[in-house]
Amino acid sequence: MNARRLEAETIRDSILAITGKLDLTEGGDTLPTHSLETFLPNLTTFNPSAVIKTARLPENLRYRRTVYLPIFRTKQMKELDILNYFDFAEPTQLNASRRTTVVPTQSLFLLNSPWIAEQAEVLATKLMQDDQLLDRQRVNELILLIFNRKSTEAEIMRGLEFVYDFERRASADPTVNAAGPPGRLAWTAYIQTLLASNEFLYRI
Amino acid sequence: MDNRHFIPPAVSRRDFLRRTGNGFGAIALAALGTEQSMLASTSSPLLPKPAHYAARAKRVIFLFMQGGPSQMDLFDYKPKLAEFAGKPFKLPANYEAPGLNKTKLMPPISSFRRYGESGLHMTEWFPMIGNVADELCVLRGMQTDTEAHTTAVRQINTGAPVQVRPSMGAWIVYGLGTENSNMPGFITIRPSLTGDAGSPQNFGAAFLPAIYQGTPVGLAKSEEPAAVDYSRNEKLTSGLQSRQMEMLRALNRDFVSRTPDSAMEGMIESFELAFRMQSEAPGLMDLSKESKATQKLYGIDEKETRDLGQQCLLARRLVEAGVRFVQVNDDGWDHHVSIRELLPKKCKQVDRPIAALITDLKARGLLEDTLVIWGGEFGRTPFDQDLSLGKAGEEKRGREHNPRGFTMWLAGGGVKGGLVHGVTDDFAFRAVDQKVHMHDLHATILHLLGLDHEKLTYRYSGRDFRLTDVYGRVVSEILA
Repeated sequence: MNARRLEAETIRDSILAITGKLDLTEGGDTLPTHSLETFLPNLTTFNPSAVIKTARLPENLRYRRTVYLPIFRTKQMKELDILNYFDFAEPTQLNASRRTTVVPTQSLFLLNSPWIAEQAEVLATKLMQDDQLLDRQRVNELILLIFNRKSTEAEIMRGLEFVYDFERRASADPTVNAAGPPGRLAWTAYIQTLLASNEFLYRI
Repeated sequence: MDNRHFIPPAVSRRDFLRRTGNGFGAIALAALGTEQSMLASTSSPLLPKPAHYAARAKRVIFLFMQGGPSQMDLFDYKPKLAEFAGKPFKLPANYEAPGLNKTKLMPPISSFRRYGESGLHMTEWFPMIGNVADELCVLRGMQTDTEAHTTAVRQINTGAPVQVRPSMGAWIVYGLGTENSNMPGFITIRPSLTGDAGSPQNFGAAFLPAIYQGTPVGLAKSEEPAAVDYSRNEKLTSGLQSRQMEMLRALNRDFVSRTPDSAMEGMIESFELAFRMQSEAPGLMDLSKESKATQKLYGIDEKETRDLGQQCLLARRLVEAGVRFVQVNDDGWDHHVSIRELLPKKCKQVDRPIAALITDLKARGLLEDTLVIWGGEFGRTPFDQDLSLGKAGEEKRGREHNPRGFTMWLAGGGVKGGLVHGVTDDFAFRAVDQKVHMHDLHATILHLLGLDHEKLTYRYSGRDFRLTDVYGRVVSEILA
């Protein structure tokens, strides 16, 4: 079968579209000269790896489509690590086609990246704010949003079972409390799991 | 949430075939067997597998010296080259390259001496590697098919100069599995992903199942030691994360049963492996766990040897932990220009780390069943090259690429130490006797690992593929 994994930019943009944060503004400056100090606090060191390491997207670029973001020559800034992990093309070279790699370090990124967790939490918070929704509607909404299809009854049951079980475990674990209310943590974990799943990452 | 604008996706062709009951999906799923054989850890494709016959080596460290190390200046001394230095050289017919219009023979630029009991004749720029000379099996008659970096790099790594084929490491892990199920079977340290030196294809799995692909750690030219990032979750305890993994497994199992695809199965394996790596990788990658003496041995305390020293030490830690194939990537051997100045510098950077690796492996009893491979994608020409086209002085000259005859060496697992195999002509331009083609080297590497290169096949696109394609001869003369 010819399943194709989403490209790095598409994964990032899709996640932001799902959380409702994607900024669809067109055009603009590639180099954010209006906030250069935020973007490149170490610019004057002339040490490329230090510059990349400390570079941060200015607030007004954080949710822009990936195609409009500033790109470094060798490696992308931490906040755009998704590009480093998911086969973004080397910007200094001609690339007839991109290679798609499948390696465990990508999975580690999906499971543990604070950026993904942050986006999942944005969506979890939004989802919980709507107190008219029943939990089963929430699962239904998420599957619709993330997989772009209707959910099955079995999926809804499995999702609910996961969220309730996770919440119970998280409440029982004192070390987790610092990370936020167990309910939000459970929904965040569920969302992150959907975002890390093959059904989201592959197009068939 | 507002879904007023949601338009249900049209039924895809695949979806249609699946739903009609006799779709490809159903057929492929049947071929894959039960759900259990696809996913249960008892059938992990990385589990150790029996070799075809008794193995002499269990693991490999490939020290890839990208660029083309100059054989006549390092391993293959030619008195005639010194004698005829400065004389013109008749280039082969149709030979074209920049900066060769007034080319003449360049003498060996380093002094040679004999090392070890075997009296191995080698450059004085490798004094420390010289200390382990009796472990080296030097192949002076190496040959490869092409003389451009991209194709030759691909051939040394995958056997094929042009086509997309699985890499050597992927074949080996496909053949043998790996001994540490918590780590990838094939790790490539700081590979170059672009340009002359590399592409992910060089550690790719091509048509082999994706789980055999090399896992890159660190990036080329990075100033930090290679590390596995994102190996800790900042918010979730491991118990909670196992619950999350369980959910992910269920989602993926469900999806793959609807749409079987080897890349997605690779992704599933990859998730399982990632989860297990979290417990093992951070400790394993942490070089500070090594004693100061060991760090010093590898030259980590000095600027010029730090980079390769870190890589070599990490390679030893990884093979010790049961990783089957580790590739160390060094570049900067492409001396078209100023070879007199740059080659000795390059040698200084690698001499200590590589000697330390051999010494350390030996001290730990690992060298006898670890195969160490050293070499670049080709060698260099005996005649000089002047890319300044007459503007710069003699000292700025270098040597051109040369695939016709060059040197690589092996050490450890099952090869004769202190041996020189292969003879080149009087100028070290062409291999003339005991030639070893890249395919032969690959066949020999597989043989040492207990794999028959003609039997290690994978059926794809209607035929059985091999690392050695339809070529390859095991170089039995060098086997211990």
